Amino acid sequence: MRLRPRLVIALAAPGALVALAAAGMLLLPSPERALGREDADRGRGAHRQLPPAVDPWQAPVEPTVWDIAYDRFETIGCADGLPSERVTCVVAEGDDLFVGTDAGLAVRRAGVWTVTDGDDGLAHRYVTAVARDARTDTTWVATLGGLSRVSGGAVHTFTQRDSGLSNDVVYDVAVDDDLVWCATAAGACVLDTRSGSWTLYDHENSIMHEPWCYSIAIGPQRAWIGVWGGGIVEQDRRSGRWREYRDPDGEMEIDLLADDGPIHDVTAFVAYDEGLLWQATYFGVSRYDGRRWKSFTAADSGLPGDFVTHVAARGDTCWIASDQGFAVLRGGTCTSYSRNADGTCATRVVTAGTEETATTLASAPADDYVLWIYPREDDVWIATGRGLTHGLTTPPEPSSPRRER
Amino acid sequence: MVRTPVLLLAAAVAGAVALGADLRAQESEANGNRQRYARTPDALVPYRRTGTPARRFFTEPPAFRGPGRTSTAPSGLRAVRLGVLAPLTGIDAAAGRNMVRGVRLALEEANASGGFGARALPFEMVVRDENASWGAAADAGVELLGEHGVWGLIGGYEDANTHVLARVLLKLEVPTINSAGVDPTLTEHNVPWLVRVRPDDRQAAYRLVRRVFEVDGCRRVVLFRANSRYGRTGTAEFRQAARRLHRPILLETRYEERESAWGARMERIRALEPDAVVLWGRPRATGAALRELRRAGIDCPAYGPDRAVGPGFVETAGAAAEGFVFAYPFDPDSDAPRWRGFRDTYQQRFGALPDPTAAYSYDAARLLVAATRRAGLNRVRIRDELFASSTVAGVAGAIQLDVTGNSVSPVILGHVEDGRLVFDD
Repeated sequence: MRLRPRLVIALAAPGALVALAAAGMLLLPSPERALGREDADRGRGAHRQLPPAVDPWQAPVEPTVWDIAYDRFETIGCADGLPSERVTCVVAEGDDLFVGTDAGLAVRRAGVWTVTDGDDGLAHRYVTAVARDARTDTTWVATLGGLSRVSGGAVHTFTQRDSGLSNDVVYDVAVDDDLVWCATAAGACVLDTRSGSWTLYDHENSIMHEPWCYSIAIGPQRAWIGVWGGGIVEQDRRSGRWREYRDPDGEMEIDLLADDGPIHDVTAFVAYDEGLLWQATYFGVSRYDGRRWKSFTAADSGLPGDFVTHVAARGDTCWIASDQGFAVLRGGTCTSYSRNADGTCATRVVTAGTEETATTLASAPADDYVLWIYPREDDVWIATGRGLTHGLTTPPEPSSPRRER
Repeated sequence: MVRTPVLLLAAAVAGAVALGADLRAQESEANGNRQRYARTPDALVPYRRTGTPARRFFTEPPAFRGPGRTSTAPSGLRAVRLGVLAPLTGIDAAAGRNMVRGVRLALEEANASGGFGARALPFEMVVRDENASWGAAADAGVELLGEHGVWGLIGGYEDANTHVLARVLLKLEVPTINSAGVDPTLTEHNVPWLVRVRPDDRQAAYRLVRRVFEVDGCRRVVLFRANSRYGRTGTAEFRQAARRLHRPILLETRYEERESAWGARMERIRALEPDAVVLWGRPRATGAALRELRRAGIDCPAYGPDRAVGPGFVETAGAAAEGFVFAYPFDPDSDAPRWRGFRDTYQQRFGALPDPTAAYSYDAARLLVAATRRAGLNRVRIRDELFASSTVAGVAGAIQLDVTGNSVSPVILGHVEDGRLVFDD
């Protein structure tokens, strides 16, 4: 039997138990109890054809190591083929790029850019997120006017009036085999591409107490929805059961205890990989490993800024997009990259809140206003308000091999 | 043997004095001290006995650090459009009409005084219904910017819609002023595009808490609220405040907008023998709840927020409305010259007296016009102008904005007397 996290803490540290009791934390009912079994079970029934039970919090025996530092940056702008310098999201596959902007979707293949916008049938020119289904070479495009599927040169659009899409303002899209998850302004929804059926989740049939969904993360057996004002809700996709993660102090203006839960209930993005769940908020970043929460801010961890719009998880490492630059957070070490006025890049390495090194690179991302980040083994794509930047790293020495993903 | 009651009495008196001092601290906070979030009285500060929070948020104004301050307006503009998102249909349609009227009046005056810029471009409003469909506020925000190129927005009324709108604002980057929302969490997300000019339900709760517990000395309080998001978020601050004062709510129970089965609820409330009932909901439903309380023989004092006493409250409650105490954002019977001037102009223009929604919408439109005139046609700079002020001159008095851009202006109390709303402060 798996112990509940709060019970584990209590057994492991009596001192912590006293502190928690003083704060009233232990008096709070679990989300399932607070809502009652009936409420917690609502939404059961969708997506029953799933693989056997797995523990999403089980870290791999040999976790992927992403010990990476960037040393140069190159930027792509309108002159290179982008329809706008406001780049909102990016996905990279080999040399191919799928780039969302506020003026349409730009795709670079074999060095040639193709732009798809409203005139081509895209739901809206403002693209908020892109997800790829490499099996079918399909690009799912979340926009402020609906969801579009771009496949084989054809564009098919789903809206709330002609499909099961919860709302036309789609903030995030995620592909999980035949399922396409969407986070919208008025609920989350899942399209089963085999049957064409939709499953909708909102405050009426799930644990989320507000329907304002911002982000989707898919993991083994679980899906997480980042909810604006509602923290993170988790669905066990085998049982359909819901669980909610929220800041336990219940106050928006403070974080009473530093690492007792999500840093804030206003979730901007969620990401998951290898047993770690990451939450982006406009107040910092939080990490959950199935037992413990840990939060990171500019003041105590070296983040370039607390207004975090996007996070990407790879192994035990998190890439952080903020309005003051981007950062790579691994363990207790945060390496941040911010643009100097002269076009160089200030890098800072902070470990356990203490600055260790600060260096300057000759090139920098196009802007510190970073909206999306897409890391790979040896490079990173950075969507900014002034163009798309490619961050590169010197290949590792042959004598220091890295585990490959 | 006699000492124990005496000691208890002394402790109670000392506690009451301390409670009063703590609650009155709210007034001192109003003048200059912007460190105390939301002008929260000492006694109501969350976890104040637990220790210093690990982190405090909302200590600085939300910043927008993205590009856009140097972009120029497109050529060939024939008007400066501002969007209005209001409930034009549904249960709040009357409030939506008043929002539109307030904005209309402000824009008419702005155009009469020269419009915008050297070419005297007229200000125009584009109105959309926030209740048109599920999540309509998001779609409307996208349409207002994408198709109409609005330079700023005013709205919405229902707070769930405004929350939806706020998230779109972050993507669209449109400066927005909320003139009607009362949900305290509306500005608690760090989105640097939304300002609210009317006091929220937190301020109403603080004022009512003081009246209920300190002035009227109530101890056994029941919370009777609408079974809606408005009822839930509106009462949250009151419930927490009561708990922090060691006067936890005896019972929280709910009524529907068109409630018909009152019996069981009334039995539960009556069995508790409350000395106060706090109601929180829309006017007609709250009026009906109050009427049923009295019919059930529950005659203790009753209290509520300003939305509860909107049109239809007194008519629905009938004689049961007498004595109902409510919080209100300002005194609409005031003879202050500025308010009187607005009230007369509004009445002349629309044939009706303005309510707080109309007044704050008028203020919001004037604020947006002034910011646009100062900043020029650049949405980021207009945003900067909106967040630069901590005090705004409203028609009903100065509007105090905290660092989040939220109004923390003190509210007043009133009561129902002879079927009329009478304002006490």
